[in-house]
Amino acid sequence: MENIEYFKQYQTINGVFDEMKCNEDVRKHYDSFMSAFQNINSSEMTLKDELAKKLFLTQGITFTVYSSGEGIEKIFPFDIYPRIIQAAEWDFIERGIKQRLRALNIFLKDVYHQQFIIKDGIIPAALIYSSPNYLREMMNVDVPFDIYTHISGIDLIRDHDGSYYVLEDNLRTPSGVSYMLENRNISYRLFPNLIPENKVRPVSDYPDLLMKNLLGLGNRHTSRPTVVLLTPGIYNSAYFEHTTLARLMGIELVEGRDLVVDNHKVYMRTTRGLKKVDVIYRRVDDEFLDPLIFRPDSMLGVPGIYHAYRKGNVAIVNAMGNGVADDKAIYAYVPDMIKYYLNEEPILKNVPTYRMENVDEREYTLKNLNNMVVKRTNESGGYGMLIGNIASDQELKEFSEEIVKSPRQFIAQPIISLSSAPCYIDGKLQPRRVDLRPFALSGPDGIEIVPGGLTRVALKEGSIVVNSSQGGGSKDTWVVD
Amino acid sequence: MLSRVAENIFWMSRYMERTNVQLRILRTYYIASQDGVPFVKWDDVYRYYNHGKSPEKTMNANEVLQFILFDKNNDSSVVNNIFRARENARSAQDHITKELWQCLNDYYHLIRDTGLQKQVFAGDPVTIIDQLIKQCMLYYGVVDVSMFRSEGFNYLSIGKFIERLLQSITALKMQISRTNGLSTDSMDIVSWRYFLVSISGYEYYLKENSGSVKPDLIFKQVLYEMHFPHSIAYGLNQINRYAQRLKSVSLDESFNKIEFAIGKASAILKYNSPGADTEAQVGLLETVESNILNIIQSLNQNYFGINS
Repeated sequence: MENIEYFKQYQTINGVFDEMKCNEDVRKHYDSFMSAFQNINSSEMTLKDELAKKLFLTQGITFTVYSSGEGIEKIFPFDIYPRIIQAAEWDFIERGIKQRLRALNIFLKDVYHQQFIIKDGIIPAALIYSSPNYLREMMNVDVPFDIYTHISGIDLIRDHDGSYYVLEDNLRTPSGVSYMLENRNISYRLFPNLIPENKVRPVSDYPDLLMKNLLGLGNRHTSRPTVVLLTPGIYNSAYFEHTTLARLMGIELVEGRDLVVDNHKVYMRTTRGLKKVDVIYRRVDDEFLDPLIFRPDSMLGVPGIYHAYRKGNVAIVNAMGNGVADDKAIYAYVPDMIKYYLNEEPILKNVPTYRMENVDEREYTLKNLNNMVVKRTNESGGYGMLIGNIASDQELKEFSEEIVKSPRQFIAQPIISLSSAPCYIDGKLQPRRVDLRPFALSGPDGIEIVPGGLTRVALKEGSIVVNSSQGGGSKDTWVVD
Repeated sequence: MLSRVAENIFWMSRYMERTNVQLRILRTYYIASQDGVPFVKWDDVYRYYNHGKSPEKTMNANEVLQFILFDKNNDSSVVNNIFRARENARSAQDHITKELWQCLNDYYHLIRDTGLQKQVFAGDPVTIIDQLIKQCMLYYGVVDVSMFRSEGFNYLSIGKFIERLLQSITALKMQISRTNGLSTDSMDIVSWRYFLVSISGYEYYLKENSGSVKPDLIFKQVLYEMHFPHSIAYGLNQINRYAQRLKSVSLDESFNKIEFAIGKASAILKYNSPGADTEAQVGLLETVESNILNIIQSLNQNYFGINS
């Protein structure tokens, strides 16, 4: 039974903003939790750490990697020490995200209708039309309530001075919200009473807010709309999330083969015959959604669903074609969009982004590749990325060649240091880099954001890649009053 | 309820029932083999669980047990049953309780435990089989206590009894072929006794027929005894009971077809009396079996949306 001086042993990383420690002292909003944490002895802490792992595994809170026909269960690593955000800071984030989403939503309506933003020369037409996620099929399609971005995940990071930057917008099928909910459930078990004592804002109403919005979309046709969640199936790595959300909202979890389109209306096959579907929360990507319009080899979609959608007989959430707005090359123009559509200054900053199709910016990037992060515009999940300061000469050479060959496929950003937060690793607190993905819900009544979101953490020492596929984990995120 | 989900629940239940019966038969076989009973031939057991193919070399009891319990390459192994039950449960997660899902998930992690697998050779196989049977019992308990009695529960129950009937019929046919339906020597008697143990029917038999082991009485118990939960009559009765509950949530046409299929199977059982004639007994079992398969086909076509 040994009490460890966790805070005294905690060493921050030079030149990196730390979420908890400032000038050798605990930041005020971490104070109450750190004091309680300090009183837990090491053996008790080890038990808590083991309990967390066990809870994730027995409850099946896993993602499955399939190889040779059999699933390998992997836990999305969870760090027990929560990330804490003070209310005032959260209000700032909330305002910034709402502003950004309003602009992005107008952008999507504009780009698929009159295209004022192109005509006024704010964004080059070539950039939009060359985006692989721009869907010509969405031109002049009216979506319910003009809402495209029903569910969004905006990735935020903090630089060395603590200021927030938007790293990327996820406007297609952002995942991770079930981990936000489950992380909180695990925290209740690990730290009894600490959540109410710290006045942590709850996140559990997320499914209710989402359901309210989904029902709101279906109310155009019927007073009791049928809402379903469309999943690619059990082999999808986010299947756990799909089941969790379907269960929490009390809706059917359907696969493409469960749906059928007749006379431009969507039905699901039930034991009592066909039943009409009014709203589909889909977790299937655009290109797989309708084999008659997009990829003909897709087994995950529903033939004919596009025309049912276009005719307004079914609402699909998120709208098709959103990928053009979260394209990494379009990202650079979001501050301009905010000024253009809303006549406001952006609240949240963008990470400075160099567009490789621009000759000056390309040359600058190639000269300074060592200090750049280069990303492919159509990749996510931390794949297809080059981090200049840790890349080998061979990798730098290969990327340089590829950038020159197809500049539209790449953007470059200066290496942002990413803030660190304390993590409980090997029996002590250690700083690890974190980002934050708050989840925003846009419905007929406006935009709502559940306080907190998913904090992703790069668990490998020295790493700045937080994606789960690249050794990242997550932690509970507390917004405290 | 989605047709696919109904089918998933049906098959989850079938795989779990299959596991339970399979484990009990294996347990009885192993104990019988330790008891020196000559009818236990492990090569035959291997063949039965390997689509009729013989092993490349003679295998001992532990090797066959390893093959049936834990071999992932064996399509009929218990580990594959559990894997499939869990996959079906995963697809129907929003229609089963969280507790039930966790119970199957626990079972999956237990049976994949390499420590447990090693005990087949290093320790006592009966202990391992008992552990696996206990997990089955936990599953039944969780189903009973936590599952809501909605449409899904009816498919779950129908799946359970259909699988149990098919397993009972197969076991009885094998037993008849093993002994020619006789109990002429002492080994035949031991063999019939172990058969009853493997289908959890020995105690019940003793209560009714203490002091004698007669194949025709055992046949009667397995076919007609309404108080014996592994009997064909009991199973068909339960299938009918849960099918009737589907009436209010079915299309009339669908319900009429399933009701007809169940009624036909029950009538064949009820109005046939094969007596002690072994051939007639096997013939009746095969007819009942094919009518149970018709019930499955009717479910596939009318409830699960499978047209082939």
